[in-house]
Amino acid sequence: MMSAALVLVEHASGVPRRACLETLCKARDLGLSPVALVCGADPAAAAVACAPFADRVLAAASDDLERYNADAHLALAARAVAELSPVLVAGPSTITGRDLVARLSARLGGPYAAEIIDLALGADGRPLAVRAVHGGKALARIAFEGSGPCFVTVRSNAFPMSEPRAPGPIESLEAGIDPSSLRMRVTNVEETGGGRVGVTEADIVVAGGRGLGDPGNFALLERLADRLGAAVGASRAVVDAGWRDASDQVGKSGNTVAPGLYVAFGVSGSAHHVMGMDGSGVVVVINKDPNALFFQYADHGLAADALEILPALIEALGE
Amino acid sequence: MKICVLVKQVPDHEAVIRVGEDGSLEVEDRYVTNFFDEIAVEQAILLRESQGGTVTAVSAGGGRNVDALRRALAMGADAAVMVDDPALADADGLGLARALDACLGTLEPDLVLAGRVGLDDEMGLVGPAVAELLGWAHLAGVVGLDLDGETFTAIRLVEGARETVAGRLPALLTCSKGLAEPRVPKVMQVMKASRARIDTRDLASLGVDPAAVAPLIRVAGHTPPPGRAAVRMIEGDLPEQVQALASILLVSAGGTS
Ligand SMILES: Cc1cc2nc3c(=O)[nH]c(=O)nc-3n(C[C@H](O)[C@H](O)[C@H](O)COP(=O)(O)OP(=O)(O)OC[C@H]3O[C@@H](n4cnc5c(N)ncnc54)[C@H](O)[C@@H]3O)c2cc1C
Ligand SMILES: Nc1ncnc2c1ncn2[C@@H]1O[C@H](COP(=O)(O)O)[C@@H](O)[C@H]1O
Repeated sequence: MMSAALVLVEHASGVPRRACLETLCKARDLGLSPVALVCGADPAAAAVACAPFADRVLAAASDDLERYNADAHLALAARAVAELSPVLVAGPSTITGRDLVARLSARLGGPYAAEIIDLALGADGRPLAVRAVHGGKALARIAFEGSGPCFVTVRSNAFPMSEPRAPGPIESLEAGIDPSSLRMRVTNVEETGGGRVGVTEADIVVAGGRGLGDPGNFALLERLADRLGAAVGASRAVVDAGWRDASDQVGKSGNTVAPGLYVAFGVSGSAHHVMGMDGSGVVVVINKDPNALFFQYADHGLAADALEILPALIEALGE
Repeated sequence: MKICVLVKQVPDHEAVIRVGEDGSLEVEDRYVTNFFDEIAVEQAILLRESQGGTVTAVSAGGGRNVDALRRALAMGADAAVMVDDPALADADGLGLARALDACLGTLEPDLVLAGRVGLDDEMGLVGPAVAELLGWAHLAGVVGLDLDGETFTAIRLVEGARETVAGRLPALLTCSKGLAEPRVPKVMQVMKASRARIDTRDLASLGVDPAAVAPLIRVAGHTPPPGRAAVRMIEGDLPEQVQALASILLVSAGGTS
């Protein structure tokens, strides 16, 4: 029988994190049998979205699974691992995905590698992973010891999506959560990012820095983002200045992103910022200063005033 | 209240890091206390200032991590404990977590604070793993914290949302940027900390079998990150620049699925 790869699916409003779908596809490419575990108050929509990329989808429904709750999600993930004996257990490299998989690896005593960007199987059938270390200054090849499941979290955009297939069966998994086992409760949720896709999820990120001059000018960036279907990112300087929400921040103390296209307006390109986006596909930098550091990390550069370029660019692209 | 903070020393972001011919990492000797660990130390000190109690910095693995303990002391921690043992020389995050779990078992804190991630190997494993081994609740990515006796209210920033979470102590929280602004210790405090006693323990004294800290992941080697070709600058007058930029964006956007 084919070894299973269990993907712990995180989803927002019924849409699975892209890293989860990408990992299901990658598992199948490697000859593993992809199985998705989808937990939620109503996991149906996310389960359906996973099915074309999975051999099986396990769906667990409970109000206690509405938001990530370590005690509840861990219990279900541990049960799924016991049932499937997968060679690989993967989650997205999000705040909660990293919590869940790291903690699960400690519970089950297995090897864990965070935020991998590549995956292969060795001659012995054991996974081999690649991940960035030291802010992207080097890539490390990771081998997993032992014979039990290997645990990983996966960066978005690491693996290409494959064509959907006939959907795998969706089986419901009894949630069976003992409410007294839950030591924490989410008491309030405030959505951030104004409904736009988040920077870690997006195919395209358009980022702005202090060079945009004032917070109002981010409206231009938002219009460009909407035209391109992009997320809006920010440098720390503008987050610290209160112009943008902290969840938009790209860099060492913010998010690591690796979209296919990263476009930066008025960002200087300090090492702290570049660390968070160096894995991106095409990088385009617009900066008034022809000697801006960021040009050294770009594929295309434009030495010009962002506030002159942006309105004309939006017009050229059409609404 | 007794608070323990987990700290380690990591290369400064400006340290030159190169991949050697044999795939090993050559790291310039410029180290600092992990960015998120300083935030954790600051938060612990603020809690002590407002609620009383003690702050103990705890590290495992010896070596440069002693400097992280001294930094915490200079910032105002009351005591520092190091778990040092030859068996930890090539331990991974889970092995370190087992050593730290045993050590925290003897210190009996009510609250443990750690960093969200170490800015060296960027695993983010030790915090959640220690919580798991202690059998405690863990909250990741905390940017706000309020304690009220045995209960806490924390804010965590997750992708797309800011969540308020309520729970009970004991708990382990991993700290993100925004929780607290680390103070910069005065020279006198740095000097005093450089002479302070560090309570050092080995695995045997903590009852940890060295086999339990054997690494489960192995770094088979490093490669330099894929380089980028030299930048191509867009030339011309404004309309030409905008046209060129628009077409680059449309072509590149089309390439992303
Ligand atoms: C421990 C630590 C962690 C950090 N983490 C992060 C992080 O996660 N993310 C991050 O981004 N930073 C981080 N930083 C901060 C980082 O070092 C820089 O200070 C920050 O990125 C600068 O932001 P900026 O480029 O927006 O602003 P500035 O450095 O002020 O640069 C503005 C740029 O805009 C250009 N400009 C000005 N006007 C225009 C115009 N009209 N049109 C076009 N260009 C214009 C200027 O030439 C300049 O290059 C961190 C720093 C530290 C110490
Ligand atoms: N050797 C160590 N000693 C004490 N705490 C550590 C050690 N390594 C990691 N930590 C803690 O765990 C956090 C995450 O580190 P890491 O799992 O290495 O990314 C750090 O921010 C520290 O708080």
